[in-house]
Amino acid sequence: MAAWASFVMVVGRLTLLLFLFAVATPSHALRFSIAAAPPFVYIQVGTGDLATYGLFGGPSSQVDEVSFPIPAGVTAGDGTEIIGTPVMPIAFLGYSGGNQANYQVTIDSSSGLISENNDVIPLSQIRWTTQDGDIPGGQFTGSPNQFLQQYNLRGRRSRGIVDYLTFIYTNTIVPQAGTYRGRVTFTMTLL
Amino acid sequence: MSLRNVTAAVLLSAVASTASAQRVQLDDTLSPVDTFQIPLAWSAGVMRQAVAALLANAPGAAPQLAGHIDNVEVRLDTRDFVGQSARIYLTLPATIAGLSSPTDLELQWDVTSPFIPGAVRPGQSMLVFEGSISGAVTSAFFSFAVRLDRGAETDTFDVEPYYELEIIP
Repeated sequence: MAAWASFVMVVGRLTLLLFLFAVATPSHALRFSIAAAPPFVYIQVGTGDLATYGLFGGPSSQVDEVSFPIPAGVTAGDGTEIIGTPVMPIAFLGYSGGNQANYQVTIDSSSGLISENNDVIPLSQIRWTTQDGDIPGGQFTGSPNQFLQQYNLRGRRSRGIVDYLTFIYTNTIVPQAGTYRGRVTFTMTLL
Repeated sequence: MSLRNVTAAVLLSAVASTASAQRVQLDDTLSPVDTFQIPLAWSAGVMRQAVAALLANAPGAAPQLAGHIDNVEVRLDTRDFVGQSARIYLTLPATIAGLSSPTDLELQWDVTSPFIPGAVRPGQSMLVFEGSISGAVTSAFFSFAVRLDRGAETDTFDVEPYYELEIIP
């Protein structure tokens, strides 16, 4: 019984000694403040660099083109819609340094479709549907700053969308004969 | 000798024998700069892979993030060990506030001779010096690299490595 009491007392002193040693431990100064990866946005309209990751078709360094050849039996301006080919893959990615991956996508379709004779078909003649609904269906307005989509849900650092758009020529006006070409530009902004 | 005294003597002896093999944390506050900002980023070579993973809403599949800082002068207070042979270790705490999975982190360094390059993960120690302590201050220039697996969802956090000395008997 006496030995047990003594043991307890010695352990008590030992604890005290260790505690004092801990208090006397030298402080250290070196500190690395590790910052999260910087925010960025990524946009891909059509085939492109990510083909090697199985997302899209063959890689291409050129601007993809959708064609709307008027089939036999369809008259220009008769309202028969013409489905363009190919289907166009589109990807949007916003990555935030915080916890909110905010981005906005706008479209510039102001240039219109222009023929070799400089006749113009407004791009508002073209609408689109989407495969997954991740990107909303719609119609070009001819505006240089048409709103397409915005993402601002808190709590997620990144937000990625891959969808496939089918463009459709609505064929409701009668243009001059010719082959018309135009370019639409999608712009993505990190908010 | 009473039973009480025998018990005390045995315990003190045990403390003395372990103390000789213990590591002592070194004071590094002599270092000219104490806090360094290290921004993480994906290297150009893996950026597309990162985009692909994030587009698939699978941030856990994103490749390793990395950052580095060069010319970090570390000055260690070794005045109590001058003339003795010793080993110095670089240690990372086992837990790092703000990092949900510490095992994803690796701190790697290159360093001026006679210090030894190496790498640690949280909870690990790695030898950085072995030899005779020649002065009151032992210093070296480090280049540190931080690598973080699955770091796409990580906020800013602090890493505080420290140095420990062990006398070579």
